[in-house]
Amino acid sequence: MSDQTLLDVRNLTVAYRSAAKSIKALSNVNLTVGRSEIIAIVGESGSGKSTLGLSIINLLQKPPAVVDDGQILFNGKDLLKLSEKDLAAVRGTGISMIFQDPLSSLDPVYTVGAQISEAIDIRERRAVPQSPGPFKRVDPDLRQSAGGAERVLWVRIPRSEKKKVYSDEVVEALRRVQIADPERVLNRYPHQLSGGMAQRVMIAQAMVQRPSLLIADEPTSAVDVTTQAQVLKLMRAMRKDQGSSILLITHDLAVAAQVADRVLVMYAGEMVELSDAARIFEKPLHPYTEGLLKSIPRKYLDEGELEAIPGDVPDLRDLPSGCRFHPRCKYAFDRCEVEHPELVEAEPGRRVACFLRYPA
Amino acid sequence: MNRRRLLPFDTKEARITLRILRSSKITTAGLVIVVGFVATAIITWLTNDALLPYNPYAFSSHLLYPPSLAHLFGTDNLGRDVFSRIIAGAPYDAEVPFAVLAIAISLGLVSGTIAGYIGGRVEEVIMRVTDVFLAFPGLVLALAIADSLGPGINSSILALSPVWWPTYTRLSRGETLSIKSQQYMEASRASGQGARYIILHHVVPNIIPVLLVYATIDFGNVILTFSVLSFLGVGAQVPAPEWGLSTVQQEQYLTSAPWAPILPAIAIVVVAVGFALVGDGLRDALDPKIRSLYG
Repeated sequence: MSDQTLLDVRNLTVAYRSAAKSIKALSNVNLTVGRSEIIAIVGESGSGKSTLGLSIINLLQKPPAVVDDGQILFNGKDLLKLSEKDLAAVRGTGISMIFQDPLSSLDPVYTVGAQISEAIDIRERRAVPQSPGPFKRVDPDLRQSAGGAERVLWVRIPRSEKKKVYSDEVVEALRRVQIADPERVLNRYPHQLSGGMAQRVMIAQAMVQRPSLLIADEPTSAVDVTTQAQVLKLMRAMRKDQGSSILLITHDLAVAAQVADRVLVMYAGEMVELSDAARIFEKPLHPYTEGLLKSIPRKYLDEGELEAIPGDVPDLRDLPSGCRFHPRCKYAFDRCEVEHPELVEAEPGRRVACFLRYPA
Repeated sequence: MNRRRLLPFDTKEARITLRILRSSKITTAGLVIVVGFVATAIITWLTNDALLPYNPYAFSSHLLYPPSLAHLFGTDNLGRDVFSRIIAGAPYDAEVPFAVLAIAISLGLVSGTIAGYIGGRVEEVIMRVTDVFLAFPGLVLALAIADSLGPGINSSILALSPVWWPTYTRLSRGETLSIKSQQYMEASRASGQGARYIILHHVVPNIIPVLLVYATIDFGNVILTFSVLSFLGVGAQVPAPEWGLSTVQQEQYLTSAPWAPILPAIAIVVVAVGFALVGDGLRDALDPKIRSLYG
C-alpha cells in the first residue's frame, strides 16, 4: 500500500440476514481511495452504495447486517477489527459521514451553534489525546515557525470560556458554507432551518473536524438545484483547503460529473465499472453505465424522448444467473446468462465487468 | 459551549414555557392548582402550622359542625377544623409523591437509557429485573416493604419507589429505542462521540420532557396509593392530617356529616387533576416546534 492510499477496501462482502432470508447487499467490493481524491459512487436505489458507505465508517446496524468477508484498511488499520471505542476515535476526525436527510441529522433540542461547537470540541480534545479537557493554542503561529512539526503548545480552556472561544470558529464555519447572517443562525434550532441550510450546517459540522475522509450519502438529493451547486462547491473546497478525500454517494451521474476524479458504478451490490470521470462520460464501457448516461436529461439534445433502462434492479434475494445485469442489457448474449463477468482492466486505469470489454 | 436545555432554566426559556402554558385556559387552571398546592405545602411546612385558623390536632366540643363562617369546611368527629386539617395535610401529600417520583425518574432514566442504548445482554438483565418488580401487584409489594420498615412517611417513600421505578425504566427504554433510530444519533456517532456522551447529551435531553409529562399525570396515582397505605395502617399515622387518612378516618360519617370525609377526598382529586392538566400543557410547552412559535 503506497503512502498515497488513504483507504483500501478489499473484497468486502456484506449481507443483511434475518432468520427468514438473506440479502446480499455487497459482493466482493475492491476500492482504493487516494489522499485528496473525490470518488463518486453511482447506482440506482438498492445497488449497495449506501451500505458501502456505512460499512466503511462501520455504522451498519448489526444485526441484521453481517460482514461476511473483506478488509477495510484506513491508514493501514483494518477498521473491521477495531473495538467500538477505537472506532469512535477514528470517526469524526478520521472518517466522517453526512446523511441524505439533513433535517433529521441534527438533534432537535440543540441550537446550530451548540452542535457545531460539539464537533469542534471533539477535534480539540483529540489534539491532545492524553488530556481530558478542551484546549486552545497558545501561539497559533508556532506550527509554522517550527517548520510544520507538531510542536504546538496547548493550555486548558475553562468550561465557562469554551462557548466564547468556539463561537468565533462556529461563525467562521457557517460563513464558509455560505450561510448569510451566521451570528443569527447560530442560535436557531434545527426546525427553524430550511433543508438547504440544514445541509450546509451538516457540512460545516463535518468540515470543522477536518476529516481525512468524508463520506457524503446523497448530500444533494434533498435540496434544490441552486443549493445542490453550492454543496458540490463546498465538497471541492474541502478537498482543496483541508486535503480531505471524499466518497460522494449519489444516484445522479450529472452530480458525479461535476466533482469526481473517479466514478464507481455499482449494480446489485457489485462494482460494474470503475473509471476516471472524464473518460467515463466520454465513452462508458459498461452497458449499465451507458444506460445511466442516456437517462440524464440534456437540454442541448433535441432528439425526442429520454432513454430509460428497461426493467428493475434485481431482487437481491434471488439474483439472476451469470451477469447480474443481463436481463436488462440490450447487448446480452449467451455467455452473459451462464458466466459471471469479473472486473478486468479494459483500458489503463479503467476497470469494467463486462464480457464485451474482455481483452481478446 | 453546549447550551443545555434539559429544563428551560434560563429566564428567557422559562418565560416562553410560561407563556405557552398560560395560552390555554385549562392549563392555566391546572397551573393555579399546582402552584397553590405547592406554595401551601411549603408555607405550612415552614411556619409549622402557625398560620392556620385552628390547631389541626386540637380536639374541641364542636363535634361534626357543618360548614359555617367559623369553620369553613366544618369540623370532624373529634371537633377538629377540617379546613385547617386539609391545609396541614398538604406537606404530607406533596412530599411523598415528589420524593417517590424523583427516585423513580432517576432510577428509570439511568437504567432505561442504558438498556435501550446498549441493548443485548445488558438490556436483557435490566428488563428482566423490572419484570420481577412488575410481577408483584404494586400495592402488595409496597405493603410488604412498608410493613417491614414500620409505619411512617419515610417508609412509605421507600416502599412506593420500588413499585414506581420499573414503569419509568420501560418508558425510558422505549423512548431511547425510538430516538436511537433517528438519523441524528447516527450522525453523532459518525462525528466520533462515544456511548456515554451520546446518552447524556442526546438521548436524555430528548426524553426528559416525555418523562416529566408522564410524571405529572402520575402524581395523582402516587397520592392515591399513599392514601391506601395510610388506610391500611402502614402509611401516615393517626393523628396526621394526611388527606387519605382523614378520608378513611371519617368514612363512617359519610351520610350524617359528609364534609368530614368528602372534602379531604376532593382535595386529592383536585390536586391530581391539576397536575394532569399541567402535564398536558407541558407536553406542548416542551416541544421545540411549538416553542419556536412563541420564541
